Amino acid sequence: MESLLLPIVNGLGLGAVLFLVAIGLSLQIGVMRILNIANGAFFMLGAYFAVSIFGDRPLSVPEIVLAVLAACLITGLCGAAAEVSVIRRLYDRPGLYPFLGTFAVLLIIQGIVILTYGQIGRSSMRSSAFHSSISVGGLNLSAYNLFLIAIAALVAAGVSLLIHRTSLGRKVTAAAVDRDMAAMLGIHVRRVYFFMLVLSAVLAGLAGSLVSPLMELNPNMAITLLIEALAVVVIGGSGSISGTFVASMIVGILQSVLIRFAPEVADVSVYIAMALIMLLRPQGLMGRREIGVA
Amino acid sequence: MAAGLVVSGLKKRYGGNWALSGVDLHVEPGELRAVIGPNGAGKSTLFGTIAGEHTPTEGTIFLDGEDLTPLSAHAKARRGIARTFQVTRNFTEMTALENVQVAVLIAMGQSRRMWRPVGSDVRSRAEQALASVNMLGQAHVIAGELSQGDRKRLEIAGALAMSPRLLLLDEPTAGMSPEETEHTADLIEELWRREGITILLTEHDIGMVFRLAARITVLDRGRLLCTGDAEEVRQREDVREIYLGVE
Amino acid sequence: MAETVRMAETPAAGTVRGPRAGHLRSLAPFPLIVVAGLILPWVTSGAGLFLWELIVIQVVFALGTNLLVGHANIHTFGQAAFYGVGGYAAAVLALEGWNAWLALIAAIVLGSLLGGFVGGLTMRMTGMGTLMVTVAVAQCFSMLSGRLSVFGGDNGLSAIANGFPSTVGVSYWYLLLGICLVAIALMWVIVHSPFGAVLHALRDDPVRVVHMGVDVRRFRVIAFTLSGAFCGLAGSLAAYTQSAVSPEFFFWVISGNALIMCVLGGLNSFWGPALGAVVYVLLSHELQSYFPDMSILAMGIALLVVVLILPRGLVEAPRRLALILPRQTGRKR
Repeated sequence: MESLLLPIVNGLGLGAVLFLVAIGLSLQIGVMRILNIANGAFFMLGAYFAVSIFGDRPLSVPEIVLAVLAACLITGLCGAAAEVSVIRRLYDRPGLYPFLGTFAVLLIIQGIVILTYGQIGRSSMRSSAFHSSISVGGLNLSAYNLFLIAIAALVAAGVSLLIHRTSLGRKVTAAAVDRDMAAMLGIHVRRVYFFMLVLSAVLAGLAGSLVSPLMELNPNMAITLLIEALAVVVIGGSGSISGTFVASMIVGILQSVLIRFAPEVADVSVYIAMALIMLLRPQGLMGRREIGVA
Repeated sequence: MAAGLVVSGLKKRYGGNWALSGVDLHVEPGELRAVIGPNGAGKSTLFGTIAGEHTPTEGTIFLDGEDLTPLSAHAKARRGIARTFQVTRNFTEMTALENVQVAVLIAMGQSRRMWRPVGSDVRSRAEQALASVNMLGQAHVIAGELSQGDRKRLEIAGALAMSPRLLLLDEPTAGMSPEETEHTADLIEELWRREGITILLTEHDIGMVFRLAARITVLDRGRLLCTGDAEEVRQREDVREIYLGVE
Repeated sequence: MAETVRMAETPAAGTVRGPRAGHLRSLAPFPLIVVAGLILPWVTSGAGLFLWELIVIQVVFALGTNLLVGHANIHTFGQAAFYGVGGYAAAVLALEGWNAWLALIAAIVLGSLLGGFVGGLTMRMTGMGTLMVTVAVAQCFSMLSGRLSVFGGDNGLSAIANGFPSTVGVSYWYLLLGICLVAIALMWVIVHSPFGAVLHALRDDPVRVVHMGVDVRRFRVIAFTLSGAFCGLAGSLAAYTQSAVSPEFFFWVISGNALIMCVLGGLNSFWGPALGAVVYVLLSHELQSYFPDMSILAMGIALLVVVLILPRGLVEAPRRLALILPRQTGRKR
């Protein structure tokens, strides 16, 4: 059992990162009915920005915090810019066009990153802080992974509080359930949509900056992680915060454990799980059949 | 087994709410029956269940002795149940003729034919259907640009092209001006007399109902209140009550 | 039926479109393509001819994609799966010694089987669900193809010896053009057939089509199968022409290209995606020679421009221009 604990903790850390990207996707699908693939671009942008802000050297903890915050700010601004200039024109368009618009945003952001940083990978963020570990029952667990899990849990709680306990959250739910009715009740639906998109972008940027110590960066991380996040949304059920959280952790653990014991199937396993859920329980683990934010 | 439409004990529940709580209906072949009732009486649910949009919770639907109850919407359509919708549905990007051609193609079993273009037999049947609703002159107009009344006529032409045994008309004059309502009523009457199809229609415009239907079924809160001749129904106290409310 | 035909009292108002004229106009590009194709080897050679070989393959790929996206309004972001399956099937079988034609047919069959499978998976799904499934399927193939050594690992397979006359030279161009013309002609027939009419009706109002007696789910499966077949053909032809296949065939960029070509040219017309493919490949090629790092950015900008400004594609551009110009705007087409 002990040999499982390490992969599980690693998996939870990965799940934490997935959650931060997936929750934005899930919320936007539930509230705005839009599949915002550009969320992957914000993730990538957060990573690249956090790594490059101080140059290629080991960072101290305050610098790391600064880098993360700066990455969130930048992605938030980019998200706002994208919403105002492009995505807001597409909410009412039929068919594939809303998705294509977000795809265009992704391509443009990724294209700019490629022009600025080149196609080849970029090394991850370095710091002695990432090597510290915490001893639990005789095992050394990576403190950073525990930190990631804590962040994800905080965000999940925060978003949940936002949706369920604040007036803004009530507006979001109203707009999600019936947009026209919400508008008639005086809710600024456009502002709600703007807020959701920027929030998603910030969370994705946070995810990117937080994951930057753990991996080599490359421009393709935008789409590869986004597709995994999509699988998480399907498995958990779109519009459900708890569902997304649980699904992210399951996917993270599944991947981490399989990488250890059966590496050939590790990355495909997510999609097999996704297919199973779609066939057996199409609304996801915790999604509801009616659209709403749970 | 009786001919025509026989609905027995039809119930439909949504969660805790019984939209239909036991409706019995017998429409003779060739009859034009109207279903009326105040809002929430269950008229749309009744139509939707007969047409296969909803599955009944209980009860049966027989058409000319054939049990159609468990069938899905498309299977019911293949068995001869055609319908129009309260909010008129047409293929707005196609011309009127192309619209009806689709209905004809499907009725003739050609929907999966891929290797040849649409034949002239399909075209002429579609033209006939358009002619029967007096729209042949607009055959090449894009459906989305037709007037409200013409769009309903086109929808009806499409339904007729299916050579249905039962035609369900769901509030055919919904949202129409008095003039268009007149024309639509004229059209329905003419089609019924000429083709002899069995028609089940629901309407809010009571005047039109009394003009067209010989027999009327009244629904109230998911139950059948009564069925009778137009004059009978018009006189009944309980019918007046459900519309006017208890004073 | 009625003996006399009574004309409607109101004369035809609104846009009128005669049926015959539509079909003739739609057939016109065929002779143009044949003529252009015959002349091409005299106008260019070597690298130029190779580029046009790729273009004509992408035309098939785009038209095959549009069977789903434009004609049926099925949202897919996984066409690369069919393309790659076709490419790898043809390559692996050809390297095993199969006759090149048989390998091509096998590629088409495998593409259609995969199409049917994906169509079945997404039978009841909404647009977003289908998007997610198709992208996941393509991603699975992308990940697996790089890993399995029978498929050549990361570098793929190359130098595919096949039974075609050698892939360089004018005779290959004519052969390829011929195959592609047959594929395009088949797609034309399908789109203009009763099946195509029902597909268009499905795109417009699926509820009405259901109540006319069509099992929509089965239709989706058929549409997916057809698309898989033609996209698989495109992939296999690409593998032959480039004498190489690699995991890049499954890459999301390929699926993105397919969508962009369709939207750029015009989703709702038959020839739109063909035009989109020609323009797109030519422009990308030019761009690649001068600014290789800019291709993704350029893709994004092109897509953005089309989505925001020219949603009906290049095919509609002349008509849009005509409406803007100060002229009597009659509504007859």
